[in-house]
Amino acid sequence: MVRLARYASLAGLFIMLAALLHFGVVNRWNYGHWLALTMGGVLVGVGVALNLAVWRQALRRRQAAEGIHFFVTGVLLLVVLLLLNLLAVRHNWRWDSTPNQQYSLSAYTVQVLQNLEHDVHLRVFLAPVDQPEAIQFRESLRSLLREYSARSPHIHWQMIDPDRQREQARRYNIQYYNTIVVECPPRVELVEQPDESVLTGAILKVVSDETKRVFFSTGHGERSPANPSGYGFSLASAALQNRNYELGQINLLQEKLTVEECRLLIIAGPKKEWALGEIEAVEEYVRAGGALLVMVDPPPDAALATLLKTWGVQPRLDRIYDDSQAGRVLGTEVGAPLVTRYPDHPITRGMPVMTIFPSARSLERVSPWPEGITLQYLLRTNPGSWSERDSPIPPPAEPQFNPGTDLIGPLDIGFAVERVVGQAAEAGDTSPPAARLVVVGDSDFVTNAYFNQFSNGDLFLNMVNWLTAEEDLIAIQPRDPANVPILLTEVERRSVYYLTVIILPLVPLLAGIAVLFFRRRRR
Amino acid sequence: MIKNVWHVMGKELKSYFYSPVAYVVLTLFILLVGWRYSVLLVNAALQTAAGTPYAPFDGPQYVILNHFAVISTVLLFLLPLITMGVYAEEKKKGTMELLFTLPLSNGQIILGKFLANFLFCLLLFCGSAVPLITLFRFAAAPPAIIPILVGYLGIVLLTAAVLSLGHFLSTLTENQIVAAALTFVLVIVLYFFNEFGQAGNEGLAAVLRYLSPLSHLESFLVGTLDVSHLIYFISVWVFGIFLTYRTLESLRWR
Repeated sequence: MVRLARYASLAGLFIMLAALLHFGVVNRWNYGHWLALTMGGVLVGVGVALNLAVWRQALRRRQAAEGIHFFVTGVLLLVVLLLLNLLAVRHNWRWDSTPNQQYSLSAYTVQVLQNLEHDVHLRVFLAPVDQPEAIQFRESLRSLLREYSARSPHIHWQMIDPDRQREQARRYNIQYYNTIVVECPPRVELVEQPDESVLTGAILKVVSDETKRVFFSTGHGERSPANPSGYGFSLASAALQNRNYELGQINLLQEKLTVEECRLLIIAGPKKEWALGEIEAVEEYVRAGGALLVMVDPPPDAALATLLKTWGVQPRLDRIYDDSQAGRVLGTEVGAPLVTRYPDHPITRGMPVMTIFPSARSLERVSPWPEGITLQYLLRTNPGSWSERDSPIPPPAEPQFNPGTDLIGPLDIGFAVERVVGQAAEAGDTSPPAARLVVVGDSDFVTNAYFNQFSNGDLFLNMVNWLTAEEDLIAIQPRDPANVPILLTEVERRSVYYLTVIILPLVPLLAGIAVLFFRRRRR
Repeated sequence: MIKNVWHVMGKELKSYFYSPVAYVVLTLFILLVGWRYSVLLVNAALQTAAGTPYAPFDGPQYVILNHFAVISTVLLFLLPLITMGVYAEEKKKGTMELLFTLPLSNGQIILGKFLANFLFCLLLFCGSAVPLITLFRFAAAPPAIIPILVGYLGIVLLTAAVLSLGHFLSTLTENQIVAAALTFVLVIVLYFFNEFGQAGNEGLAAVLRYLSPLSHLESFLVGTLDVSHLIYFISVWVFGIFLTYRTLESLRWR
């Protein structure tokens, strides 16, 4: 009977342990686990009951009393500590000691989170952590998400290893590590370079009922968003629709353009010059706060010079050729200049790959400068490029640089223009509202033939995102890591090595030798 | 009470510094950390030279974070060696009984021995902080001091927690090697809980992550101080000290 009782207890413990282990593997508690735990408990109970006399005898010993005391106080302490930890997690208080408050949320994000009414799920598809730098990124992301969920009960987040949970990664079509899927059914938004501004922007996008409308101008031989051929924009328009944009086409001679109806007007490679009335309509639209993306191709296409001049940009009557090292290595055509480096601007920030612009014209800044306008170059060709005026059509197969007549690169082919609202406008005077424009000296880079080449598609979508951004969102400055270089000469490198590897370790070593020596002498 | 704690601590510290072991440990620790530091600094300088003007690179932060990562990895191996002999050695030599005959309570013995180990570790950390001075000379902008101190606070809390667990395991056996192995296994399992718990923030994954000291340490290393992480380390320390206390009680009784 004693043996039977012992087996019953052991079997009971085993069943309970197995249930807990199974829960550990599947990470989901169900009725089976309850059943196994109950069965195990009953078996242990039966085992103890059958062997009651032996247990009673054992419990009377002092050792047993000590053991029970130990167990009970241990469990009590554990419970107290557990409660304390739970309390601390629920009502966490954080102090961010970094100089630019790198791990704290902006007031605008806090406001957005407090106004949430629907549940938003954030799924982070993490990169494998095999580098200490990845720890920093993961920790900053985790602390960011923790802050988000602390501000709103509607934020739910989850870290996912895309290599282990491939089904999830496939479901959201995850292409890159460290992508965050922001979901508020039925809307889903993918954030590939997560920082506070884009994450808050994505949350706003999935919870808002408003869809932003983007119009393409027609009537001047522009590229069509419906054209599926290599010259059309159907891939670009599909990508925009996937991102909750509503697309339309507008002929300015027949319809009126208003900011309420259209957030962004895209003028994609017009072949004919615009009528004065049309230009005035566009100017009025931009003056009212509308955004504009203008893509102009090399002559003989329309330069829209009158429209662009008021914004500080002048398209040159030329065509760019690129015989740079990068182009030669990649085997691209001489008539298709490459852009391999980007300035620090929201549109081009973090762009890892180059972009290609088949048959592009260069742009220059207007002099004198229009007041209240900020203009930054976005796209600049490589040093091996040049532009030719009156280039023959079709362009020559092997163009040569003519020092006398041609303009040598690097040449600007893209500008981001902004009219910033000053303090006077906030005080309520008649200054025009903020406006945004992007001008590119090429429209081929968005066509179906080139949309998926290099980073062309990303560049176009970034332009649209920036142009249609919520004005408040732009107030959130992304907290980029500061750029602090470390500069070492060869002599300094050697002196650091001697200090850390020889001089510093020598201190305790010599101290040890001295102590042991004096102790021995004293004896 | 405090005088007795002080007395036990002094005796322990004397035993470290009158033998060559403490100096050897100090020298090796500073050599290892210092060597890795010099490599990190050169790496940072190389990355600065190779970087593009459009990709910001925070050299001092790169060096400091990696420096902390090196220290926490070395501690994984070092702390079990520091705690292994604290009680196991006394038990083996039979000096435990002698200690019990002195007018000292268990709490005083435990605190005294813990403080001796803890102060020795603080000395190690002071040695590891000296190379950071070079950052103020070679970085284009000097690093902020407070985040570095917060990072060190995390390392100190981790050390206190692991020391208390190591002391408990040292009371369980007379064999120093067994004590060291037990502590090492416990710490490495706790470190790995962080990896197991990576996938998800719900259920078991969250519990495993919470149990791992690494998940709490990371926040300190980047310069943020969360009360929840502070409470975690204090809880582990209290639990380790409690277990040591109970085992000493039972040893005294036997």
